[in-house]
Amino acid sequence: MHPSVRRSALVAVAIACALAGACASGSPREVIVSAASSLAGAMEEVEARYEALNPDVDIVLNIGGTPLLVEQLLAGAPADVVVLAGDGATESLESAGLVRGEATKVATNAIGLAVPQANPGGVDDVMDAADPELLVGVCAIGVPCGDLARSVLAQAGVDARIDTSEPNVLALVTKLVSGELDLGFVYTTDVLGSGGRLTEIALPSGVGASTTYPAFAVSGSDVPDLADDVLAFLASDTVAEILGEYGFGAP
Amino acid sequence: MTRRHHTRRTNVRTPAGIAVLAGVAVAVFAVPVVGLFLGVPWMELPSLVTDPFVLDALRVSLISSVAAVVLAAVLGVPLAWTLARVDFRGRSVVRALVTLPLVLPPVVAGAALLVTLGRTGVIGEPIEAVTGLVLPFSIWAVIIANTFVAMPFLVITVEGALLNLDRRYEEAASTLGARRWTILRRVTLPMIAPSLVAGLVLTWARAFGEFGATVTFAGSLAGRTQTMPLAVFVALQSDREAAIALSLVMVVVSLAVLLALRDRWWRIT
Repeated sequence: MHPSVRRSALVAVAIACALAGACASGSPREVIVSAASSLAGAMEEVEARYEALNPDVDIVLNIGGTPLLVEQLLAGAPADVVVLAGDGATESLESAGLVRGEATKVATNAIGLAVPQANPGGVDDVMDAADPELLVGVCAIGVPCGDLARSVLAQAGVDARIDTSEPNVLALVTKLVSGELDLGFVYTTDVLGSGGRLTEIALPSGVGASTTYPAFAVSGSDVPDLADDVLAFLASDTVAEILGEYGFGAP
Repeated sequence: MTRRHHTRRTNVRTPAGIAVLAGVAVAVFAVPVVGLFLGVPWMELPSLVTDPFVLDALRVSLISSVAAVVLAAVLGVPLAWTLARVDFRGRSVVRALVTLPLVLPPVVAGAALLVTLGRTGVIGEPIEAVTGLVLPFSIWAVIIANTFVAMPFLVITVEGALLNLDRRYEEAASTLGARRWTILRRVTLPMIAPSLVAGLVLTWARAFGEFGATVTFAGSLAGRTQTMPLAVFVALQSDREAAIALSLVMVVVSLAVLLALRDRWWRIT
């Protein structure tokens, strides 16, 4: 190659790098992905997979309960891509003009009755949630896992004796795994993700509730190109496979 | 008292730079409170603050924070006295232990309490086996969490006051034939009263606002373990206006207590 050609090629690369904002050699570009608590484990793997494919991008995960994430976003918290739990979760964000383009559903998740591995309360049926002797945990009203649990209880006709309404599903899972609660209503993904420390008790046939996970790009993002790319990745077969491993259903 | 310097108020002209920075500091405290007041749905406020959800949380908060102050006083004052007056091996270790809850994230404190006093905990399991009492998800858990995070304020304040006390008064009382218990009751405690009250108020305020350790150790159930901060957090997820109303109640109750006691006890002249 002629020296001047090589030089102009280098210049072109330098200009491209400058326009793109960063190159593999420089510090990676950050894209903030806010995701619902129940996605925590799966999203960490999605992050690792995406960053392996795109070494110049650094995904920063912000995991939190969906209502908290919504509240943060409405208050102007930085985020480029958001994945929430619940069909209605995006409504207030859409009306606030925070959603760019259409939200895509990336997964579904069913609510299940979970007990600690040792099953200290001897739970074998959803009716046990009405036993005042047992310690029963759910998520709070307004949190998707809490609303779904109440829907399951209503469908089963159980007047549950609730001992704690946890602010998010992670807090509930922690108390179940440590054996502090006898039973609780968490996502089937939480049971799968507990590594055997939680056991799922089957709900009566015809009783069940599940939620969907909409993902969207946030308007006003500094890195809209990255946001779109991450969003496309979230809708890919690779991510569907990861989500499946964590117990999520296909949308 | 020899150590207290009576500073006379003089009209020093404040340098402009200091006045501006002090003004910004005031704004840091005032702006969020003003913002909260602006966000209050005043029309619906009466019905919001008399909602059972709010009253239950207020009751749980008041009971647990006052109980924590009583526990802290019963245990913390003797500890402060011991730290200030007795030279024993490991005193610095005990001092560090007392300070620990101040620097630990409350959620870690809650996790530690759960691991220790929970149903499967080293102490919690024998407790349940013997008495049948399960601490988590009960008001006891809230009180224990509050005491753990708030008692350091009392111990540190009272110990500091005891260390700064001019001991000649106690010695004089002793020379005059007063017994140790009488000296403590009639000389020492009255002399440290302002610090003691300040410590109690700080302890109460910390307990009243406790969130992280409580939610981790005690869970959250309306009317049983759901304190005001927990109710604010839960309401923020479903009913923003109720959350703001609850926050307002907390601000008003806290300010009222702090102002009332400040006028009564903290007057520094």
